[in-house]
Parts: sequence; structure tokens; C-alpha cells
Amino acid sequence: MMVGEDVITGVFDSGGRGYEVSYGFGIPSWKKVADHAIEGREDFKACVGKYDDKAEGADVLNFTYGPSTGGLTESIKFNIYTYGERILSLRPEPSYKDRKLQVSGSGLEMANLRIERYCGPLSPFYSGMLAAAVESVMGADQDNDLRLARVIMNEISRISDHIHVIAKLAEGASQNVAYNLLFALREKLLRLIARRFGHRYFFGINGFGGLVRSANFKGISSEVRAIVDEFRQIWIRLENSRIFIDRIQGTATLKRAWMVGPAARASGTHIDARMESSFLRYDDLDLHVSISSGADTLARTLVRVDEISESARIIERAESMIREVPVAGRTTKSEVNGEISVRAETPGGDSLMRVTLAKGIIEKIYIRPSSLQNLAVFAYAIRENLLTDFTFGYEGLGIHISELGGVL
Amino acid sequence: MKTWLTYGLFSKRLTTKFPFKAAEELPVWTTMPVSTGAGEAICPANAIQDTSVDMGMCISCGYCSPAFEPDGNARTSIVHSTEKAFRKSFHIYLFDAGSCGSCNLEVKALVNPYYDMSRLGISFCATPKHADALIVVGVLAEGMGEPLRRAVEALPSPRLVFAVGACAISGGIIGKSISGVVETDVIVPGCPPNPFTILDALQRSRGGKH
Repeated sequence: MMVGEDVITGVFDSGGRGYEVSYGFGIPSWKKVADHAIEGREDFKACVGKYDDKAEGADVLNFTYGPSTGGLTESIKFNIYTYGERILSLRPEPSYKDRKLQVSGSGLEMANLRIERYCGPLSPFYSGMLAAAVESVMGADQDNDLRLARVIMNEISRISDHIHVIAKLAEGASQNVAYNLLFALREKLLRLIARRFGHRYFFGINGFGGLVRSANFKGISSEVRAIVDEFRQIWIRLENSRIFIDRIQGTATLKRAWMVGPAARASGTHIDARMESSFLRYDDLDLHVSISSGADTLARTLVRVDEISESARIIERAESMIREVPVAGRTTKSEVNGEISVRAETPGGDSLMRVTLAKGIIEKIYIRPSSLQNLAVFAYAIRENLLTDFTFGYEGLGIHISELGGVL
Repeated sequence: MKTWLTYGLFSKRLTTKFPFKAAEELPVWTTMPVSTGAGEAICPANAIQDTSVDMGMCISCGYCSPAFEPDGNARTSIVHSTEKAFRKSFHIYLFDAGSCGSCNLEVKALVNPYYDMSRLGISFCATPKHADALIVVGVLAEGMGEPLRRAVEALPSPRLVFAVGACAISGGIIGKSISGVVETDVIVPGCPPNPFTILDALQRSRGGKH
């Protein structure tokens, strides 16, 4: 039996006729479920963003944090129930900034541009998923060089996101030299991306059947390696700081079968969509999956640190194999029909996309992003922690609020 | 092993001299595309009319190349009003009305050692009540209309409101702009605008040297 085979990993509401549910972390398949009993399951709730949150009793104080406040980079509201300094319960409300991103009804190019802006910092993952879904429905064999190009873009993006998460943790722990150096390192990486791909967030690069503009992959791995080596130097100092480690060790501990990404791997679960993905294969890249066992913010950070080095190694290998990446046209004319589900391992973990195409138009789209599971992890894991642990529990999960908005 | 202090001190100097000298490294596809006369341009955002580009609508996708190519100039912002009271000290508050997250990160990048906006007397504050300017990013999401109104009301006078990024300015290709809720003093185009362009806009809005 595979890890988490009976775990609900995606819920598609069929509009009053029950649900279509995806189980397990492998190649997605959907089952119709009319039984509303599944609504009580924790993994179901994690997929639809509902949490058991209320805490009542004498001296329980309920207050809100957000939706817009200096401590949050993106808008979200938290209802927090406390007893003294202890957090008893917490309910996130990410719907404030829900843009209700309209993708269905769009032609392929517009859908691609909008999906890039579904979550800007993760744009190569989502535009790559959409492109791969469409290419698959079209019946096109994926070009090997295009696959390697997408692997390189995704892994650079993963390094950038992981460095950002660790920088935010250092900022929270007032490790100001470390946090400044880490943010500088991320800036260096963004400048590298802009030089080689024309845009700091990979906008306008992923197309259908190729890249929309040519990108320069020659020597990219040595530039990335230099940044990762610099990161290691900063990390060696950071992991020797008791002030830093004390803030993240034993903070926001949780182990659940439905967890994804670094949170799952930090609790000893061996899952990574890169091992299973049918559309973006890593099987010739000797992917090593990082595992830790503490299930707390420290363990999640250690997984990310390992993954930064692993991503650099994958980029080196991919660059050595890449030849000529096909260039796609800016318009794609197609009359194809079909439905497909694809997965990708974003920096936060497994994300799932289901796309229905009708006459070359996106008829329906559903995304279950990793941030949805990670927000549920935060809501459950922060219980019985202190208010001062909030930052470390939240930032350590690398949640992107924009990912939590609806895609219509 | 070197301590943090010595490690930090012996790290290479990174901070830009911008805006007093030219930007060292601009990401080209955030600057103004100009006509090259090479064929017909594709613009999914309808920002191009004949040979002119409405930067408030441009989503920096690069689809117009080679008919249009970016000019590589950081100054794409439009400053409608300036406030000299902020020349020595300028406190800004980032307000996310419904962004994809990248504008937020580009604004926040201004504190990293490459840009270090504190050298110009600019800093973030934790509430609009203490802010001189509201930096609004993202389209106007339904749930953020009321918080935005309240944030603007909470700003003390004198004050400035910035619309940063194509989404906030025009709605881009995603949704509604913020113009129905608040009047903006400065617009900073780009998708997302790069930190140099944002820094240039902040500096110009207070009549500072540039």
C-alpha cells in the first residue's frame, strides 16, 4: 500500500450532488462520493479549508489578527482563542483577498497568463502544470529538453522560496545579520532569473509545447551553485545559534497522513510528487527525498535546507543533459477536448490541478494548492503553543495566501 | 568560524547607489516597451494602441516582442502629487488588496541590503495610523474593499496613496482596479514593478533627489 493511499487529497464539489474526491498522492484519479459523512474527516476539511476551531470557557480570550497588518506580507485574518499566552485554537480566514480568478472560458494563452498570476512566486509550477495538462490532452509527446527546462525553472523557484522561508524565520528570531544576508541571497537569485529568463518571476516564459521566449541555460548551474554555497555558510552559523534554534524547536509540531511537502517529510513521511509525477519526470535525475522526524518547525527547516542543496544538484544534472529547448508560438490554435489531472511538488508540497478542455477552451479548472493543506497544518499545529510561537509556526510552513483563492 | 558581526562586515558591499546613480541591473521586462517597427505586436492586456503603450495596463509578459522591446529605464511611474514633508522621514504601509504575491515581495525587497531604503529615510510601519503613505498592491478583491477604505481613513494627513502594479492600477488581466475605492497620487506600473522603479517612485513622490 502506498503512503496515504486512502487519504483525501482533492475535493471537487459537484454542486449539491456530492463530491468528486481524489485519494492518495499518486497519479490522480477521481471517485464520486455521495456520502456526506466524509465532510467530518480532517483530511476532507483540510482540502476545503474548514477547521474545528472554537474554544470556550472562563477567561478564554478571542481576538483577531489581520486581514491587513504589518506582520503579514499577504492579507489573511486569523481568529485566535487564547488562555493567557497559550493559543487554544485558531481559525484562519483567507477569503478576504480571494480574487476569484477567472480561468474557465478563457483561451489557452489568456488562461496561461492568468494562471501565472494565480501565485506569482510559484508561477513556473502552475503555468508548467497547465501547459503539461494541455499538451497531454493534445496528445503531444513531451519534449525532453522542455521537460528539463521546466525542471530547472521549478528548482530555482524552489530554492528561492525555501531561502525566503528561512529568512522570515531568522527575521522572527531577530537574527538580523542572517536575515539580511538571506534576503540579499534571494535578491541575487531573482536577478539571475531575470538575466536568464527575462522576468524575475518567470512570467511570460512557459508556453504550450515550448518556452515562449528563448532562455539561456548555459552555465546556470554554476551560478546557482555559488548562491547555494553562500547559503550553506549562512546556515552553518544559523544552526549554531541557540537563540534561533530555541524558537523553532518543538514549535508547531504535527504529524498527519494528509500533510504534504516539507511538513509531511519533516514528520518522516516519504512523499514527494516529483517521484510520482507523470508529466514532469525526475526519474533520470536521481532525486533524493529529504526526510526528518521531529515534525516541528525545526524539522521542516532542516528538510528545506537539504532540499536547497538537492535542487542545486538536480539543476546541475539537468543542465548537463539539456540540448535545445523548443520555442512555442505565442498563440496556440487547438480544438481539443478532454480532461486531465496533474500534480506538481511546489516548495510547499503536492499541488493538484484538474483541467477540462472543450474545443480548445478551458471549460473547468480546479486547483488544490499545497498552501491549503499547510494552512490546516498551521491551524492544528499551533494549538497549545504560545502567542510568541505564532510567527515561527506560520512562516515555517511557507504559505502563500494568493494560492488559497478560488479559481473559476 | 567568524561571528555574525565579522561575517556581515566582511561580506561584499551590495547596496545600490540608486537613485543617485543609474540602476545596476534592471529586469528588462518590467520597463516600458517601445515600438521597434518590426511587425505586429500581440498584447493580451490590450495595453498597446498603434505605437504607444499604456503602462498602467501592461502586464510585462513580453508577448509584444519583437514589435516592441523594453527601454530599460527604471522611471515608469507617474507622480500626480508630491509631499515635501516626507523628505527626511517617510513611513510606508504595504496594503495587499488582492495580489498574486509578487508585488508584495518586490515592495518588501526594498529592505534587503541591495536596496536598503532606510539609507534614504524610508521605512515600513505596522499600521496605517502611523504611515505617511499607503502602498496598495493587487486587484480589488471583494473582501478587501472595506479594509482598504478603513486603511485610507486611518492615514494621517498629509498622506499619499500609491497604486503599485498593473492589477492595482487597471485591474490588469485579473480583476478590478482600486480606483473605485481610493484616489491614487502615484502609480507604479509593472507586473510586478521592479524594486528600482518602486524606489524611484517613492523618492520622487516626496520631491527627493533622483
